[in-house]
Amino acid sequence: MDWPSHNSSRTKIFQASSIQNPLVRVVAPDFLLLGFPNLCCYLCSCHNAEGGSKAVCLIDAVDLGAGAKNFVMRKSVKAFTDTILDLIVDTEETRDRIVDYYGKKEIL
Amino acid sequence: MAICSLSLTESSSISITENAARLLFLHNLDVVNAHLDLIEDGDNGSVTMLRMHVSPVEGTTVSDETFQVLVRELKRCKWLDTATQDLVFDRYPWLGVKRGEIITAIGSFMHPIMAKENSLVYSKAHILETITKERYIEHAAGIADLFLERFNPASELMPDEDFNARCNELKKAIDAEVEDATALALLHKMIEVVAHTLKTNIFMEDRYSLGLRLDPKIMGEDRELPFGIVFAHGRKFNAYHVRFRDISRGGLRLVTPPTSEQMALESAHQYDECYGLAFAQQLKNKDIPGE
Repeated sequence: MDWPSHNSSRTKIFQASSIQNPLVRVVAPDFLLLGFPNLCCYLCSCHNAEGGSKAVCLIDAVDLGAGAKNFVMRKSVKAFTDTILDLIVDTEETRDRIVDYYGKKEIL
Repeated sequence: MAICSLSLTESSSISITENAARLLFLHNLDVVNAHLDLIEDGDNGSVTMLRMHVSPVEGTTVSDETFQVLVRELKRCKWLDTATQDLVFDRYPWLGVKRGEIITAIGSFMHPIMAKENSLVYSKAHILETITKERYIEHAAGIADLFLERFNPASELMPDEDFNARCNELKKAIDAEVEDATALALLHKMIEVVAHTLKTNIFMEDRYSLGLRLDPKIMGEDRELPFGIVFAHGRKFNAYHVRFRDISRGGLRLVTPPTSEQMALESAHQYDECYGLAFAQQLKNKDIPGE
């Protein structure tokens, strides 16, 4: 990942150049003077962390036996995920068949 | 005479036969004879193979285009919700599968929004019953037509002016002909849902359910507005996906209420539950530096 290059006297973050995906980040001593909570706040503010999402699928499995309920649940999840993919993937078919009033690619 | 062959996995052979026969009837085709095989496929369940000899009803002809529509609808009927099947096969065969799907999907989508206004008047069953009443079904069909026109890939993007003019026409007709306040509010809300739909997979050939990518403003939030909402309506399920940023991480919750009463309650607050879970995930994720 790309760390922001904050090189002020108060905030210096270094990354060991030999490590591709560092497990340890070396923090300049003067940063520690600010305290650990400040470090966390700094990390949050200078990174575009991914947002939060959730899906809730309400399935009508009333009066179904265990086997049938499992079957309906599997099919519902399959249909729902396939539908989300229809709306976000960029393929020849979706370009031909989906009219887009949003106008931007969605990665989700 | 034509041959209609269907092979479907993991489906009830009774419902396949019933739906196929109903669809053939709607397209003026008689079933001369039929043969059904049920083949066990180990852990994958079973495969139903249905072969029918069909011929046009006396005095009618069936075009190639009709057969193409029939093929699409035969594929779709396995994935249609029972409310949609009831609407398009039994009550209003003239409506067509696509329009029926749009009406039941918008009806289901509106439930959590309208239930906040009055949970008794706007119960899910009552919403669907109202918008599909004989007196109002033509208005609902008109709204479905507008939806299909707006998202028809064969035509250009509909300019806002044209779309607003069409909406106003529909609203004028509804205001002039509908007296019932509940029906009036629901039909107006349906138009609003169409206006807030940004993308749909309605014209995808092999889709499994009807999906709508919506502008979150439709939910009338007085809290933080999500980035995007996806709603899916399919056989025996309705699903919401709410996210707070373009790229978001979260999960999926499956809710399977044990009784019809519980099902109705869950449906009324399904969106709020999804919003709450997504918002909690948003608070959690924003404290984790991205990789």
